[in-house]
Amino acid sequence: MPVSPSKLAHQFFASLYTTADVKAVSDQLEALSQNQTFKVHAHRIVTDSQLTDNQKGTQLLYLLRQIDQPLLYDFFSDLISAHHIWLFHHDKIDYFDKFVQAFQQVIDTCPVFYLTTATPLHPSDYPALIQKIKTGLGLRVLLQTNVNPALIGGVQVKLENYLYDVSIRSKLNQFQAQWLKTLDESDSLVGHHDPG
Amino acid sequence: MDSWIVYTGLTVVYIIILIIYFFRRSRSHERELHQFLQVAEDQLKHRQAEINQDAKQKISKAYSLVKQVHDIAAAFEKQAQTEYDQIVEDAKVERQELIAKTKTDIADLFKQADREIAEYKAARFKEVERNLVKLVMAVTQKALGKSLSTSDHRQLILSALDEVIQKQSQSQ
Repeated sequence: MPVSPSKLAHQFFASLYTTADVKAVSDQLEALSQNQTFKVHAHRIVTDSQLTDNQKGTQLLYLLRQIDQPLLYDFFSDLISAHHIWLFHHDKIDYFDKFVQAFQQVIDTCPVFYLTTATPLHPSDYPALIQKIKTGLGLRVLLQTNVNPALIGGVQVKLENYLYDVSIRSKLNQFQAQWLKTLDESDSLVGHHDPG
Repeated sequence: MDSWIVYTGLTVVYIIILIIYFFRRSRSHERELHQFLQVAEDQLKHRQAEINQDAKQKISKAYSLVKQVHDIAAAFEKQAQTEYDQIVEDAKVERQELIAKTKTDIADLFKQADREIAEYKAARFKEVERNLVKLVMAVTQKALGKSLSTSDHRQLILSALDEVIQKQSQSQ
């Protein structure tokens, strides 16, 4: 066991960026963790001494075909390719359960960064955004994205108890308020111009 | 002849005596009547004097009463006239005051109307200004919404995130 289930969980978590992805993966992992047939089957494969590692990997992948989450399937596929089939052992220690529990702990402690934009974000933008937030705030966050075209541009952000509106709409509203305030102030200072 | 003469003479004497007697009696009656008439006349005069006195007193009272009534009427008339004059005077003053007050009220109303018109115009102009600002901003929003490219949006999001990170860092 070159790496611990917890470390694997962190590695896997690092490839997830949105709460939607995390929830889907989490539900899938929870279902697998409670599926005794799957676990017994996987254990039999990894403990079958007559099978080579490649055969074990092929059979495990065949068993994991029920996973409909590409991210999770790819993760397990990479894991099996790297010969980390120990994860499916559960003689004395149920490593898969440990992995699922560690993953749950990671996502439970991860803050959610609610991000509302005027146009949909492309998934390819997520890593850069996550990295930017991590660099700026020192936080690894999960994104929960929403689209509100009324924002025009920019973002609305909710993080913990803080709510930030740095959208174009907000800035235009501020500009409008400032403009109206200036009009009121000029009225009060010099009196209102009577156009006749 | 002598007898008849005597008789005649006696008769004449007798007649003369009768005439004298009746004459004296008539005089006596005349005096008594005169005396009676005198008494009656005195009584009548006295009564007339009393009546005259009484009448004079009544007339005097009546006159006094009439005079009092006349005085009262005169006083009343004078008072009525005074009051009438006062009322007329008051009415004149009141009328002048009313006219002056009405003029002032009308002037105030005109001033108030002018002020309200000016305020209304100012408020409407201000409202137009504010609507103009809102219209400009609405048009700007529409124009911006249509003119931003995907790249612009991405850049805006990254800039906005920088701003959020800066604000969050300041708040912690």
